[in-house]
Amino acid sequence: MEPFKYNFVREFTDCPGGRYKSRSEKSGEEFRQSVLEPLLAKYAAVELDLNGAFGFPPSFLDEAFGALIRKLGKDTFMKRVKIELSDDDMALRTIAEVISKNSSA
Amino acid sequence: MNYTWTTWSEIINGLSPGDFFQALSLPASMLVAWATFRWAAADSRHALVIEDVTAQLKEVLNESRLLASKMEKHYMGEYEGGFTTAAARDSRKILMLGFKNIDDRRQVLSVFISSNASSGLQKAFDEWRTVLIGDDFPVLKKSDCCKEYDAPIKAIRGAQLAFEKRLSGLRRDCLCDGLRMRKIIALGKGDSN
Repeated sequence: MEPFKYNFVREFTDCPGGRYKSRSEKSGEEFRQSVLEPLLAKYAAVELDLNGAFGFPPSFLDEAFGALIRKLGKDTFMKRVKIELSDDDMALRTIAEVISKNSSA
Repeated sequence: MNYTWTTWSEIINGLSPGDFFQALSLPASMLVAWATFRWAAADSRHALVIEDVTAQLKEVLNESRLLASKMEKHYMGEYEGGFTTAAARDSRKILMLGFKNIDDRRQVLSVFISSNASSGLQKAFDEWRTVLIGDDFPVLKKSDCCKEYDAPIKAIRGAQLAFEKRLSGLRRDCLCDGLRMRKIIALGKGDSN
C-alpha cells in the first residue's frame, strides 16, 4: 500500500520552532501530537516531505521524532515513517542522530 | 584511518573539475585554492593547501562569531528592525542561511583535512549549532521571543567559546603542518609525487 504523503511546508509551517508548544509556536511537540500521531493512527505508513523549510532546530526534530521512535521502536518507525529531505544536510545529520540515539535508549 | 597530505593530494587529483564542482558548492576563494593546488608544482602544493585551510578556518571562526551575535539579538527580539512577524521571519531566514554557509565551508574544508580533524570539526559545528538554535528558539511573533533571554544567551556564549577553542586547535595544527612543510621544501626534501 502506498504511504500517505504529507507536505510539511505546505501543511504545517516553513519555520519550525523549538521543542515544546508551551514555549514555541509550531514546535516539535505540536507537530508530533497534532499531525504525526494522528496520521499514524489513520494510515499504515506516512511519507513526510520536509523540503523547503527554513532550517530545523535540533530540538524540534528530537521532540517530533525521538519520542515516537521510543514508543514504536526503530524498526517500526523506519517502516511506517518515510522522510524526504534533500535540501538540508544539517537536518539530515540531526535526524540520523535522533534515530540512533533513541533506538539504543 | 588517518589520511596523509599525500593521500589527500591523490584523492583531489583523481577528481575531475566537473565532479568537484558538482559535489561541492565552493566559495570562490576555495575554487582558486583548488585550482592553484591542482596545477601548482608538487613541492609547494601542501604548503599552499595548509595556508588556505588555516585562512578558511579563520573565516569560519569570524563568521560563527558574527552569527552567534546575530542569534543573541534574535533571541532578544532586537535583530533586523525589531520583532514584528515579518522581521522575525526575515531574521530567521538570514540566520539559517548563515548556518548553511558555514556548513558549506566546513564541508569544503573536510576535503583538505584529515578524516579525524574533519569529524571533529563536524561534531564541533553540530554541537555549536544545536545550542544556538535551542529549545527557546523564537519563531514568528514578538510574543515568541524569550521573556528571559539570559539563559539562552549565556548558553550561546558558552557554545561559541567551545567552538572557537576547537577551531583554534585545528588552525594551530594546520599552521604547525605548514611550518614543517616549508622546512622540508627549503631543505629540498619535498615530496615530489
